[in-house]
Amino acid sequence: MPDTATRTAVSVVVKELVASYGTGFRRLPVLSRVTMSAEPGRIAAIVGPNGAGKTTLFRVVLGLLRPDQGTCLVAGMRPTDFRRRHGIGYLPEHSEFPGGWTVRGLLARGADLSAVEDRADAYATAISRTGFAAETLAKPINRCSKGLQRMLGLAYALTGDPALVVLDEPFSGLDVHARTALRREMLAARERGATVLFASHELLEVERLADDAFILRDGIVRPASAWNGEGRAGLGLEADVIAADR
Amino acid sequence: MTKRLMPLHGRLGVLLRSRRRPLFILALFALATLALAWRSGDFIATIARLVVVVGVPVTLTSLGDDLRRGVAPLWVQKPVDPARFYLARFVEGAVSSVVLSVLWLCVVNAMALWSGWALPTPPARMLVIGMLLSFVIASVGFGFSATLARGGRMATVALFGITIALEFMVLLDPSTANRPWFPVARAVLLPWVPLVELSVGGGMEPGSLLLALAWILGYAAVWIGIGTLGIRRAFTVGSWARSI
Repeated sequence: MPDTATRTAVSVVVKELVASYGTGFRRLPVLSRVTMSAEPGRIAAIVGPNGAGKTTLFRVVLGLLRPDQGTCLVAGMRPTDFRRRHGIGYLPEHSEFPGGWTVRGLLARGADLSAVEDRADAYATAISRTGFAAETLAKPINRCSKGLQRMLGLAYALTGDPALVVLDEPFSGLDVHARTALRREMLAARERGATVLFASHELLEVERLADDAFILRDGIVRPASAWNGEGRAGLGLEADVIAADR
Repeated sequence: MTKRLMPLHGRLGVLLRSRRRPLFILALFALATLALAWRSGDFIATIARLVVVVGVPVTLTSLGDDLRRGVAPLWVQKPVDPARFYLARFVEGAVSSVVLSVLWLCVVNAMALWSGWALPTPPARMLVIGMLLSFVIASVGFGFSATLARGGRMATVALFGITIALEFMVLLDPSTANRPWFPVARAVLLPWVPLVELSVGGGMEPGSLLLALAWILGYAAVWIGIGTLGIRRAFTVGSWARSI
């Protein structure tokens, strides 16, 4: 069955979203009436300090956390429904891998689980995306360096060319070669028509890659004025983030 | 779709590799107990049997590592239903546990026959009970590990320990069975009575044999249901969703 979502660009629309963790007295509010949208086939960045709620927002978009109020729609569907039907490429901030798996084995499993016609082709593409040598592919994942694990996480997330890709701090822990490869993959995903949503503290990378940017601070989001809806405007983002802190 | 790149035996291999350290410790403990049984007879051999029949399913079907360490997003970002995915994993873990338990029971039974111990249960029947107990423990382990944020494995072993303790209490003081809480405890704890009935029931009526089997399988089904609900909760509003 062809996966139409990989051919059709996907929008993410978040309206008046309130989200928290825990229950009862232990409830911890994280997001407060967040409204934003990631347009189909574009790269949207979310910047903000640690603890601002970026990861929480991503968990709602992934359908891993149910919001208290408001809506989040991915291609017009509830995130859980979209994820179960089409999958969402996700690279968490701290990638955890199960014990006992080799690099090759994990990518094969990723291809098996993806909604693709040709699993062998998806697997071969994932292997080429890592750029790993043959001996690294046969290695147990827990013996790979942090940078290699990060690239493996990215290649796994992109297996099957998902229509929505969510990357949480994708540049952390990457050397210059891996950064270049990551940028290339993000731009290639956009070329394919995928929507890419990423959070980063690396403002230069955000300015380099993002078509749209949002600043998230204390659970409240607003578009970065450096973009102003008219495309990128040089290095204004840092000033924008600092202004949001005041 | 083209055929799967990682077949069932590949996934089972990864499962066993991923738990090789606890399995190694269990194997050492089981072999040490069996060595003791060589001198002490069948009572210690019963412990040697239980070490594997209880320990292996607890080790192989726990979801704690996935859900607590944050491995789960790796699987559920793909177009899969989390409950179905983890149920399939449970089946793989439970089948592996049953196979390993049967292999181990064959070793212990062979030793028992060779040493001339007086066996209370015929070896073939013991294999069937070992399989059922292993499956029940796997189900309980799955249920606890999908529901509790921590200590799923310990809770499973504790439930088994409490069950054994209760049966000893009844053995030492039969009036315990008349206490008001006793029927509730019997319903909640592991289905020991039907397991024992199956183990001694050479002359059991077919009806009561089926009833005992239905109790055991029903009990396992309830725990599998609890585990499924736990997974659904963990992927939406679970208090430990933070770790996912």
